[in-house]
Amino acid sequence: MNDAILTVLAQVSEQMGFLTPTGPADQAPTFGPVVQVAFHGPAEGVVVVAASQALAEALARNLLTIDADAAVPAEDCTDALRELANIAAGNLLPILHGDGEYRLDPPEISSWPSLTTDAAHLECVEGTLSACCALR
Amino acid sequence: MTAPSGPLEVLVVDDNRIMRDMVARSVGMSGLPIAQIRQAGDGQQALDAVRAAWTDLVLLDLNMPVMDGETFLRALRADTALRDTLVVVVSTESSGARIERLRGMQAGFVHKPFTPEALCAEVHRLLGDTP
Repeated sequence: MNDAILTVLAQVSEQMGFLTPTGPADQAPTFGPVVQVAFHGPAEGVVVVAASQALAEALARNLLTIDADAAVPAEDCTDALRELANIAAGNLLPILHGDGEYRLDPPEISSWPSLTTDAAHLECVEGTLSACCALR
Repeated sequence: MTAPSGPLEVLVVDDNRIMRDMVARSVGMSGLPIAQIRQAGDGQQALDAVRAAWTDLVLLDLNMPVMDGETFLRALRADTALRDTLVVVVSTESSGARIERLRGMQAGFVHKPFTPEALCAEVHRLLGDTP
């Protein structure tokens, strides 16, 4: 499961976020935005995605074409991560839990769960990105 | 479906403003003749928008609050004045059954994450021309 999460994170961060993945990281970022996407359908649960502050800012800069020397509002960082999480969740669910019609709730601000076994951490040039999937 | 003859009136529908901007930028850079690109945050806003002003092309997300994209598409196709509006669904959807259902309602489909080239190719395909 962790390999699948890592693969999807790398694909989505590169194709949609224009980030540069370099390989697995050791742990989830300790400071930065976290969002979760609840899903319903053949399986029920949440996908949680966390970004280091540096990666979240780079993602927002890339998606919103913000100048390199301009400050990035926190809201932009969170909104950028919301969209990345939404796309990651949509791509992960058929791989982790089988084909079917999933309904995704709008991404919400969350916190990284303290106990996670099914998590993957991706190192990018811009910072760290993590995701986990938990069933309800 | 009838291909529009002049510059396109485009409506981008997504609940995330960043994705709306990305889709709008992609279609804006496509080389298609664009008259105007408007935006809506959910299916209900999109229905209000297409009823209020002429729209040639809708670029549509599926998972949205208030009214989802599939419900919007069904309502659009049931409206005799709007049923011929071109629609491309831009979504993370992977269910083959759901994608077939959308195509059955004469919608194009582009999977997220998308490249601007993929989006443009699907719009050109619906318009019946070659990019």
